[in-house]
Amino acid sequence: MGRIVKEHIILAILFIIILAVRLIFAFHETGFSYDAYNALRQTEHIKQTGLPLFKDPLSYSGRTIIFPPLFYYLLALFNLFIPLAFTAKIIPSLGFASLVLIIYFITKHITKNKVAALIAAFFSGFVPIIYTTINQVSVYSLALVLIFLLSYTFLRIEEKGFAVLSIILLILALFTHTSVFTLLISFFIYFLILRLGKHRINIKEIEITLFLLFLALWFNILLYKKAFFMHGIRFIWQNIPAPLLSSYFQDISFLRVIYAVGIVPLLLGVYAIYHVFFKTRNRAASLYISFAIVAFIMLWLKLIPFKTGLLFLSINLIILSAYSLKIILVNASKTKIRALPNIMTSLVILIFILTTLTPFIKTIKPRTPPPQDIEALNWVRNNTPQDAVILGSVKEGFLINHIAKRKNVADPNFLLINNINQRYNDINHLFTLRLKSEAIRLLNKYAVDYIFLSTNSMKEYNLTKLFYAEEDCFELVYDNEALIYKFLGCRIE
Amino acid sequence: MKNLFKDGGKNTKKGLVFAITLLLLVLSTVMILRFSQAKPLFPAGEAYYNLRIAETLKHNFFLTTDPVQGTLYELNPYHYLLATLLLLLPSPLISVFLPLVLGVISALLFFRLLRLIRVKPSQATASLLVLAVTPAFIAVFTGLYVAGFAILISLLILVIALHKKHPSFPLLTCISLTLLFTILALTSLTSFLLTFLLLLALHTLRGCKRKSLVIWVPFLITSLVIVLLSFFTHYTPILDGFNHFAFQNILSLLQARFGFDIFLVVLFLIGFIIVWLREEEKKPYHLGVLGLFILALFNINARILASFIITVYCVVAITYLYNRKWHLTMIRTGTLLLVLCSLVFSVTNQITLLVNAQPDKEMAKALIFLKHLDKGKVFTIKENGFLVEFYADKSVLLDTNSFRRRNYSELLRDAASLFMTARLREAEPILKKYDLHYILITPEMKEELWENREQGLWFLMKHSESFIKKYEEAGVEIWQYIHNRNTSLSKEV
Repeated sequence: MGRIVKEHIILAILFIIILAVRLIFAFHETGFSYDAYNALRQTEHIKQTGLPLFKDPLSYSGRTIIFPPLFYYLLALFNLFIPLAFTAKIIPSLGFASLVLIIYFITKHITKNKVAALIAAFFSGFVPIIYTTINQVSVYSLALVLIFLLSYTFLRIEEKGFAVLSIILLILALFTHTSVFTLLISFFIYFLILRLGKHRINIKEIEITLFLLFLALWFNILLYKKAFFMHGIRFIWQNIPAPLLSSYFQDISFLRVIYAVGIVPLLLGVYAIYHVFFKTRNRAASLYISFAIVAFIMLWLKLIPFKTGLLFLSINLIILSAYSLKIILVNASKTKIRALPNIMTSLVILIFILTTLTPFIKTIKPRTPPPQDIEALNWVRNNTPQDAVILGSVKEGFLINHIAKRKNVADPNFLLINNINQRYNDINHLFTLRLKSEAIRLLNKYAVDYIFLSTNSMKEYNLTKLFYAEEDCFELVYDNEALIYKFLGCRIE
Repeated sequence: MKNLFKDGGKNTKKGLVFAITLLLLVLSTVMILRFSQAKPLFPAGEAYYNLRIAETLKHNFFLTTDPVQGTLYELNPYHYLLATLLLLLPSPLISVFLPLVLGVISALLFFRLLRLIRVKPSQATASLLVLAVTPAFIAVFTGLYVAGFAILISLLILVIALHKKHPSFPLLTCISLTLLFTILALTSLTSFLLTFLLLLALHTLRGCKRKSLVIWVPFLITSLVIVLLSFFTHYTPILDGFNHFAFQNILSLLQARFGFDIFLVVLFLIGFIIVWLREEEKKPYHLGVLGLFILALFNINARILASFIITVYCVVAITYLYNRKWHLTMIRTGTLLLVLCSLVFSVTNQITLLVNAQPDKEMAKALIFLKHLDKGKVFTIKENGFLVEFYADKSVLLDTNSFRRRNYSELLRDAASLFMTARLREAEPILKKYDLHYILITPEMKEELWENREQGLWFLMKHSESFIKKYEEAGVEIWQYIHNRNTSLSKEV
């Protein structure tokens, strides 16, 4: 056990501040973002049955889902002692806040400089992109922790116990999210960089990489075999409908990276890459350069969802920025001005705060469903048959399942769904159609019983009511800002 | 056969026997499983065309026209081999044993070839073991495929040309090579060119520069024969087997029948890196193999040939992983276990793919029913074409050989229009243009073409009096189109 020193206290304070900030923002809103309701449902199911909901009777009116369930088990575990509404806000916040500690240990290992490591930890706690995950019950709160811990144990593989720890962490990461592959690919780029730089490649690193690669390949192929068969290479894009694809996998632009990562970590990170490549050599920094390169290329080629890619890119740039900070601080300490390192440190933090303040504020905007919509879905739960199928926008699919406890027509989990483009277009048509006969055909196709026109859908489709909802086939059963129509089961002969 | 064992000791002999037994076991498993499920022996595809043509050749050895399709018949030595065998043995016996025999002979020739290029006996035997779990090998030798025959001739050419003894009988070698080259060129022009290039490379690798005449003379004579045949007969030389790059065609994981297994590709890449670093003087040849692997992404013949060659690299990788002194013994065990699991996965995945492939007994039953209907051309997807010709003895609008026809793109366009139209006035001209009498619909077509919804041609047939349903069982439907019927426009859909 190392003794507690000043920087540990600072780190603990930083961790508490970041956790507090996240929790304040999380509890400021009562609900969760739209996608989070899937996590809540999975957690509830695990708590009740001990098993994840792989055969979901409500999603898409009944379907199979495949996913690594560890995160939901973790939530379910805490849910045994804490109510779900609290667990789902506290645990992800804890995960993201603990990234600060991991970043600190990684950067300290790379730079051997406490101040640089503390500044990097500070950056990682307040980088704007991390705050897009508030109230999302994001699986990345655990995945990022495991992935970066794995990278850390990989760096220390020579030391006793770290190989076993790497394997354990990989297994946990595999049971959490597929994004661990990004790190595995980075290992190969890392070896390539070492080879090109005529560095000696550590044989233990190769051994562990080979093992991790085989293990990850094997695990994912077994888990997602059905999805591979069904979607082929489109599996990478998660079978997302074509019209939505551009919002998940966006074009990368320099300005957007600055906005998400902040100008200071970006500039310092890029300088570190230059320095490691052309001036000094640093094995550990090379790993994070590889990781940043892989994240950037995957973002560029749209092989990774935009937000996930930016999360990886930003954390790697923050780690690398510590390397540049160390150079700055070391050079500053060589001057005659004694206070210069402190001035530089304050200046860097100040510039970081000033440049990330606007994106930070803009990021922290409510993404939760309006209370009127929640109220309407509560009405659905109390006043409709249990096997009723509710049509809502795709975004509201999880909400319909979790709050109304009713079947939906579609939700944002598109994997293993046939003809997803057709279904997605049909749903959009059902909100915008004017022709009753076509609407009735589509409603019968998906066996819809009720149509949920939320305030959110009204804004999205720019309408106040359904055009085709005439009294002979539709009954307005709920009208309180959000509207609910009952489909009376007409047929087109 | 004696030569086969000459280089190795008793262990090699045992190993070889084990490898061949495994190979036979794997190949026969596919047939046994299909048989146990009462499915026709071969998965849908070329095997049915080859068998039908061979049956025809049995009665008419100088065939110029395909008797069912009425198209020009392109001479293929494999069909003649099959026809000759059919004269001696019954068709079911040939169907079961010929692929197995060709598979075993190819494996033995491959072993001999490896020994000739100085691969250690143990490594050559191990290559056969890996070959037994290679998807393309399993697929090719569980059906009557031209590619299987082509690979056998290619290997025979390589073994004869590289045999140490041939300098004593250069004329005999030249004649036999010319004969084999001609057979190969007529079987598959792409395989002919690939074999020649491979032979040239291996010849140089063995340092036999002076004897290259033995290769060049047969090659030039064969080329001349091909040119003369194309000038003076209806033979059209086509570089066969090319397709656009698509992961679905390459990876067996994505249901490619003649694809690579993902784990074998990973092992190949590891093996490639190892030999690349180890064997400085052989780098050009390894580069050639890499070239073949890249070509294999676009060409099926190259893929089958590459599937043989990469086994050597896979063995290098496995041997390396097995023999090297690992720093972490636990990881060694884990990695080797994962490699073993991946090989088992490769073979089970391919066997499942082949066993589940169409036709099943329901399809065969429908096709036999079709046979007993009046004469007439059948319209279905091109993947079903050979099956209809074989079982129902009726011509089809499209089959997998239709690409040879001049109006292929027009055929494809018309077929697509016909499948998608729900209007008789649009369908009728196409039906009449090609004199189509029957339409065969399978459950797969319903799902892929019409998303299991009554639309397009399926809808039209169900609602038009111009079509009569002749057969419907287990989702397979046969409809008859009534030609020259006075259809009133009021009835038109």
